[in-house]
Amino acid sequence: MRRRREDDVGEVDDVDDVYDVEIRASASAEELLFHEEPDVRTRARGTPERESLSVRERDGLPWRVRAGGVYRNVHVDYRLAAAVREPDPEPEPGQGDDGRGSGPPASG
Amino acid sequence: MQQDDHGTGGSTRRRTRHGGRKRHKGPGLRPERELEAQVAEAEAEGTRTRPVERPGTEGAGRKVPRSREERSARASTTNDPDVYLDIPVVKVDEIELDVEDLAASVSLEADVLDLLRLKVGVDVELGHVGLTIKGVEAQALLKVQLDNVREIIARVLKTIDSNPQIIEHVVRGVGRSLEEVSEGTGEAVAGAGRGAGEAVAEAGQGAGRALEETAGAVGDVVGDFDEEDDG
Repeated sequence: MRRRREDDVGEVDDVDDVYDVEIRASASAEELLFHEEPDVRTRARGTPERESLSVRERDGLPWRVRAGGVYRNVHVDYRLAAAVREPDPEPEPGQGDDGRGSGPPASG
Repeated sequence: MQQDDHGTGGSTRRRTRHGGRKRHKGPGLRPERELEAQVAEAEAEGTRTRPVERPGTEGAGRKVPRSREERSARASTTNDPDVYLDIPVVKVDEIELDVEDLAASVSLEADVLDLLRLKVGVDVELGHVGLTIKGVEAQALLKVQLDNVREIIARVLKTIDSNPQIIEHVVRGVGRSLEEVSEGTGEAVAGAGRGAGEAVAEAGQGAGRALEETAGAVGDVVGDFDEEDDG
């Protein structure tokens, strides 16, 4: 199973894991003027289960831009990827389980 | 959401796994409504975003996107994708964008009878963006890799091969469906046969008339040429 590292940080290209589907984009600009705050939505989806990755790097640009703001020497890298995963196998009845459950379900 | 609204640079990485251990009928089988639930879960997952300042990225040095050659070289040294759409570097001196409902989406679906249904995708949607950019360099890349899905399907097929009773109920269901289809098909073929017979007869008559007319026209043309040659 693919390891989970939700808090590690690096550059977009540091992530060598292979995903089933992926979108990458990068852009540089000498000057960027937002006429209004952008409305951007991203999502990863998959069944029966999925593992997803979202990496974004930005230089010269705040995490939330403001309308009318002018930003210079901007660079943005973005990577959104997802892979389908099989569910973890369910324990066979009577194997390591007395049938009354073994605790609360794993939280996402 | 823990975000830095004041810094001008940094990076986030979010890696998540969605889907719990839930009981379902077959290997990998899950009702489709799970998809929407997982999407909602993904939105909630956004709270895990953790911006981190990277040293030396305070906007001083300006990066440029990698060239297509660099990216292609990189792709060839790792696992080559099965679908690879590379939009190369686009350079524009100045551009004014006013975008409404622009979306980029990559999806992959695979089914094995009713036993396995795999779906995976990523979507980026711009609701409304209005901006002016000067000195732009941009590029985008879409990739689909089938190895993982292929392995999952191979495992399912191997399981079926070792335990053919798994698909007995599927085959029975297919058998019933085929019987119903064949009954309907018999009626349809009979009707189609009658219709086709009539159509062929009409087409034959039409073709005959057309040939006669064509031959007549050719004869007239040849006759004209003959007359011109004679003249």
